[in-house]
Amino acid sequence: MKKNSLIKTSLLLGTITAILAVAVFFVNSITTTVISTSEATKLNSYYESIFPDSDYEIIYNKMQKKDKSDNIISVATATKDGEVIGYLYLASSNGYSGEVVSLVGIDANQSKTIKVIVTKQSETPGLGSLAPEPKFIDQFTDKSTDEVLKAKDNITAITGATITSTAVVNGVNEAFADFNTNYTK
Amino acid sequence: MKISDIFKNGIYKKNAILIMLLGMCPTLAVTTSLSNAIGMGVSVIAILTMSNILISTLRKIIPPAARIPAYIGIIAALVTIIEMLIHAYVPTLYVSLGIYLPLIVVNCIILERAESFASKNKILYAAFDGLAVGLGFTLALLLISAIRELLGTGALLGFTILPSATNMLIMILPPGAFLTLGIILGVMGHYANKKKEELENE
Repeated sequence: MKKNSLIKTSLLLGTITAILAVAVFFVNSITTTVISTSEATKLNSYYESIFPDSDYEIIYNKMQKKDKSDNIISVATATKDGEVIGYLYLASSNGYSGEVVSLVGIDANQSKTIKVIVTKQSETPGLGSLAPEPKFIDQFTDKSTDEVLKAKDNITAITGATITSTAVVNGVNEAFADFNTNYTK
Repeated sequence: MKISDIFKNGIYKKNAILIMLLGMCPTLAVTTSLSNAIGMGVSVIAILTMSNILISTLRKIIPPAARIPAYIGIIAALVTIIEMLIHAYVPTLYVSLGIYLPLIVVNCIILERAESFASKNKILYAAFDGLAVGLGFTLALLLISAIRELLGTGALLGFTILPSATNMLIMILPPGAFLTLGIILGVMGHYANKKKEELENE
């Protein structure tokens, strides 16, 4: 290759890449706020389904300060009539094909779960993807935070999806452990 | 060049999956259910058409010696931008297609069409080629996933068809993908050979 065309090629490729980078940067900067608002609204509707008619405040967020276990994404409080009635843990764990995120709602006074919701999963359709279904997830309702949960023991695992079941169990256990050390009454 | 030829080639004569054996990774990974195949297929048709148009538009600017890195950059940026836009403005669509879009960046069919077609043809033809190859890809995905979902879970699109006693779990697990694809390719090869023999005997 001639020296001239080498320089020309490099410059052209550099220009193309620079334009692409600017385009991605530009779209990213206008969409980030829209995305985070819509994610927050979605999370809020989950909060609402666990502790209805309360005020929610995020008291811990992994992105801002990190002094809890890596698997705890965020913790929020639910306040009703000026009293904290519950804690909402967003916990992630590794499933069979990626992250499984569960929202664990814990009653602050009785130290037991109100409800667990699987908010994000990409598990095998027909097997692990059944984790959000009532048959599996409703087993986590009304569990004391002192309990250590175990799939195939005190939690019936989903048929053919032990890894997914364990992932949800691990997420809930992490939330329990953190609640017991920091917020229990 | 005739547009009908572009469609014939894209859909069956040079079907990306069944004849060219391209894009095996998404083919094996997302064909666990019919709804997955639809999501992936729609995403690929859209992205492939857009990337073909873009590459064809820029075909005189892109330096020939550095064309592959340029294509990869353009495709990756295009997919990322579309993903961010859908995530922000059409969240319901993002829920169903969101997981397929990042996989498309590494789909070699898109790069192959850019290299072998879009970079050498006019914008209109490139757009039709994207549509045709995407359609062929989608049809093959639908075929594989319908077989896998039906035999694996006894249902199609969530509607139960077969009794649960006939469910073969292996079909929706990774080995099922290889088995299904292998059998389809085997059957196709058998008929292709037969046709060849008939032609030779005449």
